[in-house]
Amino acid sequence: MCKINAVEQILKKLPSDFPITENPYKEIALGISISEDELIDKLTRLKNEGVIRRVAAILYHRKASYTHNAMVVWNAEKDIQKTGEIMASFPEVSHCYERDRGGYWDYNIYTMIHGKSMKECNDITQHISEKVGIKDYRMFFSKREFKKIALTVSHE
Amino acid sequence: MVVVDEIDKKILNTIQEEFPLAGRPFAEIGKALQLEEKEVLERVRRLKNDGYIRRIGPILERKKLRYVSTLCGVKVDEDIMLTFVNELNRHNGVTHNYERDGELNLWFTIAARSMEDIQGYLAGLEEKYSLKIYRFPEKKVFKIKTYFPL
Repeated sequence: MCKINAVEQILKKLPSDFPITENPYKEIALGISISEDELIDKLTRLKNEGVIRRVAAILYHRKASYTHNAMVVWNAEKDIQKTGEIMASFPEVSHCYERDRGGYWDYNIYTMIHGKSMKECNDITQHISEKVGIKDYRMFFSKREFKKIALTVSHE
Repeated sequence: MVVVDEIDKKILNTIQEEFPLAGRPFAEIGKALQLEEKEVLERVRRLKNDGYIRRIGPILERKKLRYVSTLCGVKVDEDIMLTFVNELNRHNGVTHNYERDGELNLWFTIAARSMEDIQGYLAGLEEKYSLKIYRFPEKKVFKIKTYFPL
């Protein structure tokens, strides 16, 4: 428990958007009163432990000409593991989960598909459908993005 | 739209995969792409200012931090859409919130310390706005990786 709290203390103080300077870690370390080496060391450890999945740049996908995204939901009655793995192997699929059907419908695998046009999204979905052998699926294109943020350790 | 050249694309593809955990990260990127640190830095700065880069930073693993989360879908009428969205977005744990076509026209994810916290929050919203929010909690994660090759 103590360890998790110590980790959270660092993550709380860590900016989710790093400064773009020659020594960004030095600047961040200064702000949270530890040394640069200590910060890099801690972050490396958190990454090795899997608390930090990766440190990377997140792009605005519309600017990167990935103008269309669709949530595609699938009804997988069997071979869920294999189906999920195949879907996840497509680079255009950013998220792939097995989820509860929610008492609403039959769909239990949820994917986010990104493309440079509606047609591209449709083609990818068609391709996935053929590859996993599921015809029962539905696509929901996004119309407005109201929020997309990184998960942060909140101040409780 | 501002044009990005081949070097920009290489930089963006590299840092989408991984931003170096090192004292001089831009020098490291430069080493890999055979560019001067100064040039990488200038280009990344421009790509950020021009709105290609949303942020550079840590991507956290929710489960390791003891958060639970669920996807939710809800049918919201246009006349209360923005009011509802604004209230929802004030919650720190709401990380994604999109209007989509379909009967359930608003889809969001919400994370909190416990499923009870989430259920309590959603129940409050349902009562306040006379809505039915459908919950689709995750059972298994197959992939979370946003990467847009340029």
